[in-house]
Amino acid sequence: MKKKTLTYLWIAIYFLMVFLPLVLLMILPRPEGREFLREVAVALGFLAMALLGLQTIPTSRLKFFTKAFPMDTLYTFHHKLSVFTFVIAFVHPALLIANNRVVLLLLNIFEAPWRARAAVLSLVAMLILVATSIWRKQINLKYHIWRWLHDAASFLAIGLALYHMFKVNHYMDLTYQRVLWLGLTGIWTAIILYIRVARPIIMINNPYKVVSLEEERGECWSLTLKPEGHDGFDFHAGQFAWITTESPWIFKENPFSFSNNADHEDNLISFTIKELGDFTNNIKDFKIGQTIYVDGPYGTFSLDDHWCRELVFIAGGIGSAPVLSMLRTLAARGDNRLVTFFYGNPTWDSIIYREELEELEKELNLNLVHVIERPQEDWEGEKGFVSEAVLKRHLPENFQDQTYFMCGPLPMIEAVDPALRKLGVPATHIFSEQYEMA
Amino acid sequence: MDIQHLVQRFFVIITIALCLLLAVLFGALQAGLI
Repeated sequence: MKKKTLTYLWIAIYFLMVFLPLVLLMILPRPEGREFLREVAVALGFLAMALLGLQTIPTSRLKFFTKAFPMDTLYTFHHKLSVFTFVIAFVHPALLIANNRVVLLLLNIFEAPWRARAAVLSLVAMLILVATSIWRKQINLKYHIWRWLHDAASFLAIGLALYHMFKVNHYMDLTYQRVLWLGLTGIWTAIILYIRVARPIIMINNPYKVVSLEEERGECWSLTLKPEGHDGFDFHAGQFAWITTESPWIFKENPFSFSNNADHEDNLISFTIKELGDFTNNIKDFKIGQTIYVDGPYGTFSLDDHWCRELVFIAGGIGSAPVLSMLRTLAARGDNRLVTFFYGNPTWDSIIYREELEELEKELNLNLVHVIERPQEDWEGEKGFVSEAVLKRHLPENFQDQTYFMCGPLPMIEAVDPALRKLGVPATHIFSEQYEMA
Repeated sequence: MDIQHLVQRFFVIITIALCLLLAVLFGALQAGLI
């Protein structure tokens, strides 16, 4: 199926999953209505339930879904909609109380009926979900512990909210509503089972072994893996995979971009990983022959996923890993399109792949622009960060017709994206990927 | 503008707007206001 068709299909399914129960309630026979605030509260409750269950999808990494949307967009979408879901779930009882103060009594979880207790506990679980996701770093919660907590709280929030909804009989007495919600619950359950049961089994049955580990500049390591007992997979230059050294049942994977040529004939895959935190600090201790589990490929940040004119890459630090994969792939294809690469790094010595990029300049039609934050005294190139002025000085004359790929930390993308727009580069020509998604 | 950019820019806003609109519409419909 064509990517555009797939995207439209997913958007249609999304709207159906969120709005169909409420829309059907509006157009099909239904029980008699009640006060305005009460009915708005009920509608918000239905929508909160649909959105809450739907949150299992954006981060599920289902291949037929991630082919249509960039992964960081899906995570951003998940973050924003989760907060909105919590807000309307909270407004649901608030409006019921505003309509009739007697509802306040239902908040007493010691004496209230179970349907009300379930609703209160579901809201508490949602509060934990939102608070620990927004302030995880501030409260020093380790990523893998947060993931377990996130899973447990999600399971509780969805399960308790469903119990509450089915036990409040006013609209749920309607057979078509019951069938619809049971269908939706079936879809959410299937996705959770895929994420938590099927995928770990697939990863365990398709292990990889470390075949080389080389130190790079800037506290980075290039790691090459070989599939063990299977053929591996093909990927597009610019895509990434989640990897872990521990059992996939523990869910401690981390995402890294492929850095090797995507058109390689062997089935090896390479990543370049910077020492930045818990897991990445252990890369240097990896042993040749060690087992690694890989889940991928993912991402639409790729030359082969978009129709590309001449190319402009903008990367900061280790954001150059997917760019290097693209450059290596272009070199292997003998592609002679003009490529301009703005490459930001803290110092000259920390430039990852510096020597290989010099070689690629000879092979490709590549204009490499180093931008150094803290350059040595005799540095005559660009200083500071990739800015509008730097872009203006080095972009080709037809810069509005180029295709732009940006990869790096969020502050870099937030600075460069508006600079490109200000220069008049159409939004449709810009593709970006951030480091952090969770 | 392609569909991915539309999704990135407007999808959350469209979802929020539709939710609020439908909730108020449902409330008004059931309360006999329309």
